[in-house]
Amino acid sequence: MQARCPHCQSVFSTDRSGIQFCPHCGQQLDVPGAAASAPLPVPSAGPGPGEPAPPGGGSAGTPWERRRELGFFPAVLETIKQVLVDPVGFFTALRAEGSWTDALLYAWLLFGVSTLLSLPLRFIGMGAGMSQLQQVLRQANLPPEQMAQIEKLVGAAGGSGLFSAVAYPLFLIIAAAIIHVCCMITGAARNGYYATFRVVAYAATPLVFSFVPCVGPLASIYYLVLTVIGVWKVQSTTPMRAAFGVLLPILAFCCCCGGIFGTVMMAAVSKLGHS
Amino acid sequence: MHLTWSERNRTLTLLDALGLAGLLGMLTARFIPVARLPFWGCAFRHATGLPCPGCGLTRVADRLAHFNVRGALDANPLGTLLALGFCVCAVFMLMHFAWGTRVPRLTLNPRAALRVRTSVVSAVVVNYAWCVVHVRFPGLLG
Repeated sequence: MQARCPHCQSVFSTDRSGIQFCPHCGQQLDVPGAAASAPLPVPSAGPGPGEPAPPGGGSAGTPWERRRELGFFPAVLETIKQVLVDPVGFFTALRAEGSWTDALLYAWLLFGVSTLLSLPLRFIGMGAGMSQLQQVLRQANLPPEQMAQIEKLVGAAGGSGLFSAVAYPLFLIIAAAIIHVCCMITGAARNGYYATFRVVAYAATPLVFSFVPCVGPLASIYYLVLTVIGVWKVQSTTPMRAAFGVLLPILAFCCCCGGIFGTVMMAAVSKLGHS
Repeated sequence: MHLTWSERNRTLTLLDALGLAGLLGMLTARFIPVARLPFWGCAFRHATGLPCPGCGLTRVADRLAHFNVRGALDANPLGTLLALGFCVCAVFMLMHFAWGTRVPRLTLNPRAALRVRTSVVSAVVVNYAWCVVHVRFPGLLG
């Protein structure tokens, strides 16, 4: 028979009734007998683009937001699992008006873990990176005091990782604001800034693996995919509007990124030519 | 179109977030010569000779941070208006967090929202046309 967990709303198969544990969130639940159980309601995929969002939301919050009852580590792991494996289900259940500080804490925690795990690789790559940067700065013919400023800033940022970890909430707040403004332009911002912020924070889950060589770019792409899905579901809009809203800032900034990428590629090609 | 004001509070809002972006952007432009970094540039312009819609935004930030509004307008007019908007948001953010200033909330009906969106897209297109003419035919627009 099929049963629905009242805690995480996930449906699972079981061959018996009575007290048991949800295989998804681990919470205890009482499955009624086959005769007594009513047919399961069809889960709502959220209101359509023309309908208003439900005022109270349809869920008790993400596992992370229920970490007091689930326990800290099970809540984190369950949230990571749900976001990565079942993003549509996760963002459909995500309340637009939930706590933004909880979402921020979750994203900050994952970023901190990722930064810690990346430290060994960072120290290995830092020496080579700094010498390359100094070479590039020398070519730019900057005044010595400005060059010293830049070197100091980049050295501090790259050396400790502390700067990025401390500045991460600011980055998240700004990124969510820019995405939200673009969503306003595409008409995908019905439920307000906090809804977009929560999506951007939870969608950052794959970035916890960004320290793994070669996985980083894939994690970034999956982050974008999750953000599109999140905006689509949480802002109660169409997938197309959500995709345009999320990708608009990237399209706007692609020239700068393209410039950096092009220069790096040209430098690599010229280096290969010399060797 | 309906404008309402919130109660006095110090809660983070979209305007504060945009103000934060403006403040950090302006501080960066003021103290770091981003435009002079060798890897900074527009690949589209490099490849085609035509500017992209975002070309000139770094110069806008740099010139505005040094209080050169005329120079910023010359680099990218719409970008200058956008950057000035960010500056206004930054001032608002400081007032909001310092004194709990009320936050305006503009609600648009679908028709007004469509008009605003059309205006934004039209402004971007006109601004891009200006940028292309300004780069390809310098001196034509004064």
